[in-house]
Amino acid sequence: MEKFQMKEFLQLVSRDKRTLEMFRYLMNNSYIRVVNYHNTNPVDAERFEAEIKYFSQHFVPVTLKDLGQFFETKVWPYDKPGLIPAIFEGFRNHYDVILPILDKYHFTGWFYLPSFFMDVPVMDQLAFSEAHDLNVSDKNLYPDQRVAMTWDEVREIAGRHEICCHTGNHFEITKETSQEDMQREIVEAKRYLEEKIGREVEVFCWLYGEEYHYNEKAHKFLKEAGYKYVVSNLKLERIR
Amino acid sequence: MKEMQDVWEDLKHQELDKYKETMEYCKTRVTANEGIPAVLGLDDLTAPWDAVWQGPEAEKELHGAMAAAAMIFASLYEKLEPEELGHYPGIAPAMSALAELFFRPGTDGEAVPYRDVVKDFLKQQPKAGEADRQCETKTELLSQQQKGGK
Repeated sequence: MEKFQMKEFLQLVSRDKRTLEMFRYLMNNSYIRVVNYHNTNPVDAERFEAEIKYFSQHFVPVTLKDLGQFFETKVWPYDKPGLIPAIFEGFRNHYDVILPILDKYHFTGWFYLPSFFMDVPVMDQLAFSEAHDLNVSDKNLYPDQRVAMTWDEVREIAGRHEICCHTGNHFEITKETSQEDMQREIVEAKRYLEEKIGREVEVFCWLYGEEYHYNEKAHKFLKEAGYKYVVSNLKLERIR
Repeated sequence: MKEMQDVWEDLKHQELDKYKETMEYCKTRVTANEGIPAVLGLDDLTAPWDAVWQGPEAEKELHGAMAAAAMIFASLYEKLEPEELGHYPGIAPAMSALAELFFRPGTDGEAVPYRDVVKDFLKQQPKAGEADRQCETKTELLSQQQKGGK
């Protein structure tokens, strides 16, 4: 049985400052649980239903209003912890499979959409998915080859759940990304999504864990766009 | 409630096997098709850095242990070869492994792991080595986990 070695441990956890940041958030109660979903294929519907049912019994759903209150008062307003089912990429199987389950258990989902995916012509959607690292796990699920949600479906979801921007084209923004690309993927993506759903989009989510703190070039565009929250694979930051 | 000194004291007495077991389990998850739990830190850039937060009553006894466990997972992931870890810091996969082990507070004050939520749907865990062969490389496996939807 391997025992803990303090000296080696301290060397390892001090390699990256984000490690000790996470320690601080956990000690200070400033954290939230998420469960990340990508494809929600019909073959897994039974599992998803068991999960969402379980979440509804042991957690409270989190709306943007709840989160805003937590950030404002620094006091979690419920007895149970919160949990966010985070549903990524705007796939059609989200509307068909997990949305009815979330609605059945009155559990709020956060849908992270690449804003321009829904406008890709149906016959091009699979090719677009492959080119933009949108991993469609069952390419034969829909004979008509439409794998993205329609705007009508997105608007229906927006009525009961949270809609967040996941760039415009599922685009990886790095420190080397051009200003033109940042403008399109951060600012225009938000405005287009808002125009389509008819309400403000407050949350931006990076691809692959890039972080606001670590990308100062993107700072200007996130501010200009007017996002309130920025999500990475480590944290959710309130920026205004 | 655990104070900082309690957490550091606890760390000295940890046995690492349960953490390593969770990390092995994490390798078998299929990010594309399964719900993958994680814990996100909340950072308010509009407030003083030392603002004090108050979590749910049910987590009062758990968050200190979670902080310690996150550090243990991070240190174990940091021991991996760079090609296995990709360009992510060890804390990235650690926050998902943490959510696996501490998915929710139980009635006895102990943590309930995520595997308890999905136990009826778990496939037989591959033996050592088999998980690697499901993807082309270990790097691909880790990369899938760390993307965690991002």
